[in-house]
Amino acid sequence: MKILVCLKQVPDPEANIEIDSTRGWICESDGIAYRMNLYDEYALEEAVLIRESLGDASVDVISVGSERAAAVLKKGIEKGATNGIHIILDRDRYRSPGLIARLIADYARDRGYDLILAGVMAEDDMQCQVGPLIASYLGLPCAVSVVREKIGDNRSEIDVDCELEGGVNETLILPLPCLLTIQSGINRPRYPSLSNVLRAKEQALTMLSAGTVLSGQVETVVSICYPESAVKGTIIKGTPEQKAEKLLDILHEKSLL
Amino acid sequence: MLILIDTINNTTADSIFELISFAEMLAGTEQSRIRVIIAGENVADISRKAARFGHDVIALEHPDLRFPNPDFFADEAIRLVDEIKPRYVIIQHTMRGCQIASRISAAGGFPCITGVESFIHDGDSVVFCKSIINGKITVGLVPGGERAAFTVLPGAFRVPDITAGHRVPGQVLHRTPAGGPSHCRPLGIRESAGGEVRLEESDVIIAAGRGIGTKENLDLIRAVARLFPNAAVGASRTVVDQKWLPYAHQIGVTGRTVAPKLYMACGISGAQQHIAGMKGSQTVVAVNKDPHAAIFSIADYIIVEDLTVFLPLLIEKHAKKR
Ligand SMILES: Cc1cc2nc3c(=O)[nH]c(=O)nc-3n(C[C@H](O)[C@H](O)[C@H](O)COP(=O)(O)OP(=O)(O)OC[C@H]3O[C@@H](n4cnc5c(N)ncnc54)[C@H](O)[C@@H]3O)c2cc1C
Ligand SMILES: Nc1ncnc2c1ncn2[C@@H]1O[C@H](COP(=O)(O)O)[C@@H](O)[C@H]1O
Repeated sequence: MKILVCLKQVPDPEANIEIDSTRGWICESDGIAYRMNLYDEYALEEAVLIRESLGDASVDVISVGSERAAAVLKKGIEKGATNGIHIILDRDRYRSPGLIARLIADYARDRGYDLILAGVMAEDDMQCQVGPLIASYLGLPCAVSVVREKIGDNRSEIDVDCELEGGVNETLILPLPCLLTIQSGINRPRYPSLSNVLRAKEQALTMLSAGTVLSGQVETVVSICYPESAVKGTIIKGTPEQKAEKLLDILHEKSLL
Repeated sequence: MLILIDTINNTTADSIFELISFAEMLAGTEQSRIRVIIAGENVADISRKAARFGHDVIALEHPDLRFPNPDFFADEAIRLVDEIKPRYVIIQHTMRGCQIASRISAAGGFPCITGVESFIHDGDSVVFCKSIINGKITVGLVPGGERAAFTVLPGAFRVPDITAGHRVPGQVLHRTPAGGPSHCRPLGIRESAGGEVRLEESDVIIAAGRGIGTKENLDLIRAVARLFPNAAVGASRTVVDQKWLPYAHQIGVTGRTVAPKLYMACGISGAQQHIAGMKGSQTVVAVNKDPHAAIFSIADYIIVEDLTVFLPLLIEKHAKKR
């Protein structure tokens, strides 16, 4: 069983993120911590759990991104991945999901993966497209927002629960090979083990250049801004004590307390 | 334009017809034919309902479409796109909506913009706006080429009011997918277990996000809830994923939808999936240490503060006042 997991490096959304209007993306400053996309953590953990239950599976992790993105592949190995593949791009900016998906699909094609996992969404660009696009380019069946999976005994199909809205799940059976996008909460991602941390230090990543990819018509960023103009509420100011008192007064006034 | 709608057990929430407003507004004064495709096993009823908005409806029927079957639906939609050659393909922003939109755009080699919240006409082009980075930033995108697919955020547009102005109902055509049997076998749907929490009946919801930091700090949230006569504790998905609270507390698209008199978001960033479940609240108070948190854009009262400092003070001051 060969599994491929897509890992994206994303800026921590809690950082003080600034806009670079000329490039149409966010500034890359030292103040921003970059880390593995949350949903990809769950995808990786699910792949490692599958390998542990089957015994004879390999888990490759792939990331398309700048040199900095190598860190998430190393983290992937620390968390149990077998190999890391880095498709190198220059600086981060808005990238059409079609481009990323094509690069990953081109790598995966003919390499015999039985299962490809991606996150349901990247926390930065929030496209929710790369997974299904890879499946389309490879002609694979796809299920999204997976919150449970079980590979059939004959390993020819997989039984999954996909999360719909409002607390409803759908059960589907897909043939293997296929692609799943993983939703948070499906498992509890583990911490790296010491032996894997040591292995990640030693082990080289497979580095590939993105080359030139033809990708039809794309969308382009024409504006980027904070939605701040939308703030309509009252900012409660003062010391923490004053804020607490003011809020209590407001809640009393509104007869909520 | 084509609007694609899928159904569960041949029904869907009326809010899906928001897509019709989106299409009509996008068409503007331009004469653009809007067609609504509804997929299901037997969707005659919902198709007639959709036709009342004045556009033609294609009822796409197959037993494999009784439950959502995005790949199968997309494959037939790809054939429809080839036949009809629409300018835009419009779908609701759900994860399977994004799956359908991506698949169609990959097949046709045209762009796809997901999570569209608004658009503006800018000369000859239309700029489509969507959130990135948990709602902290908005980007405007212009799709290149002759065709594009979109997923539109639920709640961003209103269902057209058919009582205002006369609309001649459209025609309903029935169609069977031409492709072979579907690769995916949808077996059925299941509701996640509810639970004891009566979120919908509470006047006040004190909601905890990842910003509470540790499970122990839930006690702080509970203590704040106890200040009010009829309050419950809600949570973001992150808190539920960590197993700090059971699923029944989760508020958002994939959790509960609530509309209390007071919603107090503590350490919640304000991702659109969370806001979808609480934006109907009468008064929203948000406590977050990040002044740029997206939750502040929908809050009535904004408190930029560390909740571990602020909430104990709130409890203390309240005790003194009594
Ligand atoms: C398909 C899909 C469905 C989803 N459905 C839901 C859903 O139903 N409900 C839902 O909630 N989410 C849902 N999500 C997840 C959603 O996108 C966000 O990831 C989630 O809402 C974030 O939760 P959070 O705000 O608690 O955490 P974060 O986004 O991590 O935010 C934590 C916040 O706490 C603040 N903070 C940190 N420390 C402190 C402190 N000491 N004091 C004060 N503030 C502090 C930070 O500034 C930050 O703003 C869904 C996602 C997807 C892709
Ligand atoms: N640059 C990338 N490198 C590797 N995987 C990616 C990349 N971009 C997106 N993905 C994968 O696709 C998922 C969805 O991303 P998106 O479509 O951008 O929201 C992510 O959770 C990742 O698993």
